[in-house]
Parts: sequence; structure tokens; C-alpha cells
Amino acid sequence: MFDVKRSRSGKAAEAAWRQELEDLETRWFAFLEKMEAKMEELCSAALPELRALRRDPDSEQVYLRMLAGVEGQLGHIRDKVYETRDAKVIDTWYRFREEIAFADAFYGTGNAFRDNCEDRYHAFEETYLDWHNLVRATLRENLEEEYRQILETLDANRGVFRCRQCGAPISVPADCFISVHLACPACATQNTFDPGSKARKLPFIARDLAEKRVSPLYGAYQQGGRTDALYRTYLRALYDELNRMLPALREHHETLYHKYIAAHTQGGQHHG
Amino acid sequence: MTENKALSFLNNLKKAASAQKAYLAQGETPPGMDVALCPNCGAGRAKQDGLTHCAYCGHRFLDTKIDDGVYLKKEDNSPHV
Amino acid sequence: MAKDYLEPIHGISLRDYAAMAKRIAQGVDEEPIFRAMGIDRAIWDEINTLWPQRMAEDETFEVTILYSQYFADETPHPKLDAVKADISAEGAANLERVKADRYFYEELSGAREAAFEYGLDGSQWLLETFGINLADFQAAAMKHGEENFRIDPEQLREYLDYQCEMKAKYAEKFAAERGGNVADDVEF
Repeated sequence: MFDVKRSRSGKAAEAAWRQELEDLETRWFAFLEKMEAKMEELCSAALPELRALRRDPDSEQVYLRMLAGVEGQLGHIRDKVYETRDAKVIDTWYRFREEIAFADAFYGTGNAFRDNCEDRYHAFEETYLDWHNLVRATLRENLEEEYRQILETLDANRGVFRCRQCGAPISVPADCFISVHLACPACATQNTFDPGSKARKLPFIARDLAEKRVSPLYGAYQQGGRTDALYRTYLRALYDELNRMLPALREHHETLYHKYIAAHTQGGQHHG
Repeated sequence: MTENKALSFLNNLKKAASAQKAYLAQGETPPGMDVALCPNCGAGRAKQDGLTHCAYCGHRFLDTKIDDGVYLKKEDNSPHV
Repeated sequence: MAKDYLEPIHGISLRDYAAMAKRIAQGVDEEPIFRAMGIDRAIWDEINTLWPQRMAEDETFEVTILYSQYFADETPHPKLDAVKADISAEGAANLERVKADRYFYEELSGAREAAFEYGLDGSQWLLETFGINLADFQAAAMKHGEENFRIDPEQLREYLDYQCEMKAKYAEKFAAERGGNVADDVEF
């Protein structure tokens, strides 16, 4: 294959290539540096803003939209880098390969160019992922506090509600996150308790919070060779957390636990 | 110069995000207790009479069959159906 | 799949549940839906907990697949046909077009995604701009999705390319409204 390539012949051609690759590499590095600076500017201004919105219960929707918007800009920066890599670095590397045979001593110069540019590109990708993860993490930063507030609401519900028929106090289940019919202990009339919008969030918060609390075990599983035993430890801890937070759904949690254990044992997959 | 770009984008983003109404926005609802009285005879539903029918006049509160669920139990069906 | 995963819960079948969930996502008031089905909020809260649980537990995905089919199904529901969403004339016309014209559907899909990436709730934006609610849009998406398995892969690629193209077009519009993208001024 190498021998059919039509080379620009001689030292002049090599010098031209050398110059082109050197210039391109310098520009590529400078470009990525500027794009990384953009990510830093964007995220260092966005992170405090996102955290503040996350803590404000009235700003949940605005927070989620802002988060998607910041992620959108990070994605835009990443896409622009990817397209530029294609159009400049990869395209040039292909042209080089078309002209310079693999057996040619000069081929190594192109190879080094490609390696340098690709290494730099991967470093950019890692920086992107770090920022992306930091921005994403704001979603989970306030979970313990949100959960504490829900518990407060649930706790406040107990002992304050009275039968609408006779006025006797009616006790509300500790983890009541959906409407429930409750009979009055004095007159037996069925009352209907609505837990309100805050308590209704309990199953969603609980799921995220349980995942967050056991994330070190998930990390141990991922770094420990993804064995069945480590998976079982992680998953058991996850559903123990969920059982504590949502005792009414224990049966469902146990079904899921057995389903995922079986899938892992058979397929070596994990659930997300 | 470039710093303004990120900041102005974030400002505009926040303005747009704050101005938009949420899809099916419902707002916060407080917890509360309620009681359903029979629209025919005014009776409440006693625990032992189940949830589906009025024990006094037979009015159908619920036109369905209750199974064992999260809190609801089969025993919550009114006995005479 | 455990066979009883398709048994009704509190008398509400999966088809009923999908029809109810669709109306709620269309923006129909909940109480008239409950009344038409002969249930109350406590029963709804339970089935709205238990049907999703079954979908999560069922390792064959059959419950989820059927739910999607029922959600997209336009056969009148025996008890809910009279409980309808409020749709503007313009919205109704756009919805018909989304269902009939795959390219228009791809355009709005791309636009909706772009809206999210520029800090808007894409579903609300779709409702405000085209009068189409999320539930109807999702139902149309499911119908077009079914078609994906039958058509020529080349044709499918063309649809998806068109969606990308439209997403880029709307992204440009949204970006301009935000004063340009953060990295627009960086040149190679």
C-alpha cells in the first residue's frame, strides 16, 4: 500500500509539511486553551448562581432551566472543538497519510503531530467532563436538606389533623407521601388525607438521596472489578436506605433488589 | 472582554428561565384533611362500611373494585357488593 | 414477566391508566378525570405509584411497551371520551401536521431540544409557540418511533439529519436571543 503513494518529493516538501504541522499544532493548542478558558469563565460564574437557586425551594424550575442552559453552553463548546478537530487536525493528518508512506522516515513527524494534538484534545475532553460533573453535581448538593425539610413537614402532619366529622385527632402514617383514607379512631368516619405537594416529592428525593448516600459503595464496586459481591454490597445498602425512607414501598424495593442481583449475576451488567 | 460574554449570557439565560411559566404549573399545595359525605343522604363513611358505597342509601362513592395496594386494602370495598 | 403484572389495580387497567395519565399530561383537570373513572384522588395516587412500580419491576419491559402503545392510541376511551383537553384551533392544526408530516415532527423535536439547551422548558415553549401539549407530542413521537422499524435505514438517517439541521437552526435563534454563545468569538 505504501509504495503507490505519490510523495511531494525531497527536502522542500518535507520542510513545507513540517511548517504546516508545527503551525497547526500551535494553533490547535492555543484554540483549546481559549475554549478551556471559556468553560472556566462560564462555570465559575454559573456554579454559585446554580447553587443559590438550588437552595431556594421557590426556584426549582428556574434552577432546572438554568442548569440545562449551562450544560447547553458546555455542550456547544465541546461540539465546536470536536468539529474543529475534524476539520483541521484529522483532515490534515489524513492528507499527510495520503502523501507520506508509512515506511518513509518522515512519517514519524506526522505521527508525532497527531499524537500531540490528540493528547491535547483528550486533556480538553477531561476538563470538559470535570466541569460538566461539577455543574451536574449541583442537582444533588441540597438533597440532605430537602429530605430534612420533607421529614419536618411529615412530622408536622402527625398529631395536628383532626376528624372533619367529630374533631378527634387522627394520626397520619410517618412516611405518607400520597393521599390516604384514614378512619377516625373516635367516630370511625373515613377522612381523606392529602399530604401536600412537598411530601409528594418524597419518593423522588429518597431515590436520589439513597443513591448519593451509597455512592462510595458504587465507586468501590466500579473500581473493584465490578464483582458480584461488591455489587451486592452496594445494592443492599441502596435498598436498605430506601426501606428506611419509604417503608411503605419495602416490597417493591425488595423485588427490584432481586431483579438487579439476578441480572448482574447473569449478565455482569449494572443498573443505572 | 471575554468575561463579559459568559456573564451576559448567564444574565440573559436567567432572565429567560425566570420569565417562562412552568408546563402545567400547579404551585405548592398544603397538606389537609377532608371528608366526603354522601351527596344523597349526607352520611359519612364509617370504616366498617367500606369506601365504595354509602351504608345508608347505597350511593356509589367509588365505581371500582379496591385491591390490596399501598395503603388501601380489599377490606375497603363496601361489604354488600 | 409475572403474569399478574397486567391485571388491573383498583379496577384500573393499564389502558385506563395510560388514558388518564395522557389527559393529565395534556393539562386536563384531574377531578373530572377521576369522576369519569369512578375513583378518587387516593385511588389515583395509589395506581400512579403502583403502575410505574410494575413497569420498573417487569424485566420483559412488556408493561412499559404496552403503556406507550396505549398512551399513543387514539381509540376513544369508553369512560373518558368526553373528558377532553382544551386545544386551540391553531394547536389542533399543528398537531395534525406533526402526526402526518414526519419532517414537521422532526423540526419540532429539534426545536424543543434546542429550547432546553437555551434555558427554556421545551414542552412549555412548544405549547406557547405551536399550541401542542406535551402528551400529544409524545403520542406523536411514539407513532413515528414505531415507523422507524419499518422504513429504509437511509430514510431514517435523512429524518434524523433533518432533526439535527432544524435543532441547529432554532439553536441559532435562541443563541441570538441570549446575546450569542459564550464561545462564539473564539476563532481557530
